[in-house]
Amino acid sequence: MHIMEGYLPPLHAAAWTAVAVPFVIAGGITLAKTLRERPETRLPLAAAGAFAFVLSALKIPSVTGSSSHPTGTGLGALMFGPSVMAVLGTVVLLFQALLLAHGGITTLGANVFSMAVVGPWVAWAVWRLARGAGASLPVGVFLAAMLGNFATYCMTSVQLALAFPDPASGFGGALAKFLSVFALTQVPLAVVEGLLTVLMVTFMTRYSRADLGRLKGAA
Amino acid sequence: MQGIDRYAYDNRWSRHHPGERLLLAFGLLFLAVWQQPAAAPLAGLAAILAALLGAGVPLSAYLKVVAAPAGFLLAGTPLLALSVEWSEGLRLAFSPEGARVAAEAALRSLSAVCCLALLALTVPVTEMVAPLRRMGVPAAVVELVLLIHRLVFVLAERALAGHRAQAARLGQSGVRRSLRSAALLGSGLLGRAYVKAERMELGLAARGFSGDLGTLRQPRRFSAKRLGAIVLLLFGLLLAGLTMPELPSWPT
Repeated sequence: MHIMEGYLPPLHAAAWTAVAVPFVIAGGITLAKTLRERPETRLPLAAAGAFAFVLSALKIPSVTGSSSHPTGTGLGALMFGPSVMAVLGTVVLLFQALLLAHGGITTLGANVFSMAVVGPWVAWAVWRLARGAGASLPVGVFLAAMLGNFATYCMTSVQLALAFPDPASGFGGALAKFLSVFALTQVPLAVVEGLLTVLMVTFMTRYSRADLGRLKGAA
Repeated sequence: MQGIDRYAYDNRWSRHHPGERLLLAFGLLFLAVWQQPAAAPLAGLAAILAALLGAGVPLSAYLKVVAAPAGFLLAGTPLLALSVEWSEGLRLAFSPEGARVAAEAALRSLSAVCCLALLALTVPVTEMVAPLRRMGVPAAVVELVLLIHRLVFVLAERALAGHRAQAARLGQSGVRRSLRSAALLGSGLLGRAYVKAERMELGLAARGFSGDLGTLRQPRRFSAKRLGAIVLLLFGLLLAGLTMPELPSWPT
């Protein structure tokens, strides 16, 4: 779901950067304040960031027989909150560009907006709604992670459709085109990511409850 | 990842001031993205030559970085050349205008990826992050970024070892089992990360850590000659791009 380096026309790349920056700055201010008031949260937060990066490089089975990678946006949003996730997600995306040549610098803004802003906020909102409506923990986590992933790829489709409107049918046609291509590959992946996140949360609450508690103090 | 990091630290230019490499790579990237697409390959080509001949990055390492994005590009771009319409039933057709847009996006993107590879292979992440502090990012956040960078490598190694151990025990056979394995591995990594971070905290505290990781740096000066050459190259490419004709439209 990363838009690769240089794929977006320059004006689009600049515009999406401008859209993403306020979210990242807001998250950065929160983060800097937390770090100033409680310096002991620095290393748990660094651990969380590194964890998010490695998680996104983890292989998960894909239906087509090949393997794919989770986005980790859902889990990140549930663990750190969507505001801090904007900063951690930006760092992860930057490192993916610089260490794996995955994504890019000029498209960083667009990718941050879809993966570190829209995905986490949707996941978080779904989580609150589901829990408010009385859903159990696994159901809430599943819905949040799946819909967070889903929202990310819808946003990516919108970004691509705006940049490359269809010659015949314009933005709508392009959106339908990108969504339908993504649907083949991404809807099953969103479901897999939902399942993976439920399993991970189950294992974590079973084996590392103390770590999760520490995180609550940090983020 | 290890490959990129290795050459970033150890290439022919690593004793030069990192600002020179940052200027070159970002300048080329800017030219590749901002100029008209027909001129983008000039910047991409300059980036390839700079990485291979200038910085002495081996061709195999360079290709490894560029291969994956180039593959995605080949798979994804042809979609732009198709046009859909549903006014009189669903119709999918090749569109010459779309093909032109696709060719433009492919040229721009491939050239930009070459510039990104130059940046990634010649400048270590730590040196790219340092200027952020001067750009107004709070010192605490910059330091967090550096800590994350450090922990990423430690944790990636653990993840790889865990994955290998699981595969050796048939943990990756079948979709159900590999999903369960991935979840076990992922959830175990969080605890790992904390243990690692805690040890680092303890080690730093024992050495009197007060909030700033002071390291001994080799003083590196800008070389007027090299800076001049970079500016000249960028300016020359800009001029060459301006005089180049635009992409011809698709023959119909």
